[in-house]
Amino acid sequence: MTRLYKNIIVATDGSKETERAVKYAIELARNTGAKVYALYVVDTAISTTSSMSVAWGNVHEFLREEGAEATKKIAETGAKAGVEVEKKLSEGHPAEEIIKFSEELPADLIVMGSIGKSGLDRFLLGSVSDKVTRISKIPVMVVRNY
Amino acid sequence: MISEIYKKIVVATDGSKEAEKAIKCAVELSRLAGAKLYAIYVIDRASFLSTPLVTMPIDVAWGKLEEQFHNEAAETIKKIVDAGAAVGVEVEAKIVEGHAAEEIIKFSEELPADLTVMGSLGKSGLSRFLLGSVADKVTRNAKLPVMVVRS
Repeated sequence: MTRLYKNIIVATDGSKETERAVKYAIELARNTGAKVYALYVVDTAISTTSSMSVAWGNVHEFLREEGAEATKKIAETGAKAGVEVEKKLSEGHPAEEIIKFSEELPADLIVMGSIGKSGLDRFLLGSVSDKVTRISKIPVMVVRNY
Repeated sequence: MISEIYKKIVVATDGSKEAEKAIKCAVELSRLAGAKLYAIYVIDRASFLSTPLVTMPIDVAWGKLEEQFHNEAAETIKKIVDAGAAVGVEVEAKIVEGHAAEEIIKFSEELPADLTVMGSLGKSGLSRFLLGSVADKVTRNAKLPVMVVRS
């Protein structure tokens, strides 16, 4: 039998909203023996949709740090469960980058929360997961926080 | 392995080709997680009635259609039970009538399910669901985790 689950992507925006999704992704990987890719996308559209262009340098740096922190936390959760986690930071439009990365791997499953109610309210709640669910050709699992 | 999270997995189907891959994923996941699989088949009459076909006077044929719906449901459910049995996964099946997205959410929340797996229901023989609309509704409205598997 060919294994259905080898590479699982868990997408995070660093917000609380994705914590449950991470828990579900790690457990799924533990049960299936899959490897987890923790993906954070630095949303570069922010600079063009807001009047923050002057401060973009700072925001950009902030987002990269947030991404490093969020993916590191996932790697730690994985390590505790005995699941291999690879951290991945990319830049661009979140939904597009998630799809692109999933096709490059290729991944067998994308797990995500309702990305994302982040500190900056920079995404419409859930819009990223909506888009990914519609566009993705591979299975997508959406895990909401209660 | 006995999963700490995935103990009850639901797979929703409408008997369409689109749902076959979702069934495969759900059965395999149940096997690996040691979960019990719940298969739900929703006969959605409202969707059927809104299709152009029904603007024709089919009252006479309604009894036949009804019968066809139930046969189709029973056949699909049997396939899932067999697929589960082949790999040692326990399957409990249920056929309900109603609005597809609502019934799927209701069923999952009552269990409660740890995961609901579904295809982009449903391109069935009668095209009675808008492709993907059911999956869209379930992912947006369910509080429980949902996995959408496209063919």
